[in-house]
Amino acid sequence: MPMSTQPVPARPASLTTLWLLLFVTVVGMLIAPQLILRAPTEPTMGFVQRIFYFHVPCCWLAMLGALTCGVCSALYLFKNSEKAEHYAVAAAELAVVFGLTAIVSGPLWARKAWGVWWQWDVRLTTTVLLWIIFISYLFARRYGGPGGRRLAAGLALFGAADVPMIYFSVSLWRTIHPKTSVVPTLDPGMRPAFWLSLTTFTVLFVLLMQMRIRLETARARYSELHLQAQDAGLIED
Amino acid sequence: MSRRLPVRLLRRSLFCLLLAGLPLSQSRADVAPPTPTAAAPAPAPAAYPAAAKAPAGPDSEGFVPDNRPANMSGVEEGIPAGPLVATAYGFIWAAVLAFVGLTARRTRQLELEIAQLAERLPPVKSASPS
Repeated sequence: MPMSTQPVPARPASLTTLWLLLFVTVVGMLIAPQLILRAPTEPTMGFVQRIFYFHVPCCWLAMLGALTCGVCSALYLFKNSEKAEHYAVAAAELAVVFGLTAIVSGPLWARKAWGVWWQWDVRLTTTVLLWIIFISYLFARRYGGPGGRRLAAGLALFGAADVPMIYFSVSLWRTIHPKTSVVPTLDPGMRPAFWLSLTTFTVLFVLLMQMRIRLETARARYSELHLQAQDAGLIED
Repeated sequence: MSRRLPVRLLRRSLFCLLLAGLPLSQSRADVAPPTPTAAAPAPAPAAYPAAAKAPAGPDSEGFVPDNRPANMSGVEEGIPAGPLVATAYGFIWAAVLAFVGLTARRTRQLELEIAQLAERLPPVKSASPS
């Protein structure tokens, strides 16, 4: 029997796993607002500080998506792993989605906290740069022609390199953005709301990744069938 | 000749700095405090309730002291926090739901096309082991 030379696509999660992830996410999203409303009000910024409970998870997931895409793109480039490429594109789309939510929710908070909608602060600028890099990834992958996937994978490596710069920027340079020490030194009354929100968003990220990988696997299957149909003469080129 | 080139560059850069400084100095002159011959001092703005009395007149140098309170806690902010928080949460929800909806729709369409294509293809005959 001849050995298969077809690339191995990612195996999507079963429907049971998806439903379980969805259940955990929904429960978390129902409980989190209750805890957020009951959390103590920050004395300096007031009510607007509650954006923190969604803004930080969005930033965290944007960076997680970027790192995941970078690692999987490296596997695709150097090991020719189709499965890694499916994970990479899923992670890139989520990096764009959560990056956008971070870039929108941050200025809404900043308007009250800093008095301005936007500052060309290091952290804010590098976050926008990350977002633009992954939009470029998606464009290159879609419109880059035959070598588009490899070009996009190369872009993802730069995007992943931006993540430590975003994280450590507040420690290395003088910035207006709060430092990373805010989370470990959080008020005890705020911790349950924050950690539940972060956990729920992370589970949501895993769920959305699995949904997106299912789509990519379906595309790979469709391409395979399309080629077979062309070989059988059922479809013209 | 090679020694004169850095000197020329230095002179040109100093000249450019001087030209760049001119608009800044002009803008400072534009916002200069009113001269002592101004008709009447400007009334206190309504947003600062502590500044009830009219501000003192300018001194000999034309400087008008600002008698707003240092503590701005009594100042009413323009944008309330509630709509900002609601907008942030609403946008995040909308983005996530839009992603879920688009992905689910594309997956459903693709699975339909796969089913249609699979129906048209002839059944695959397994090769007999040699």
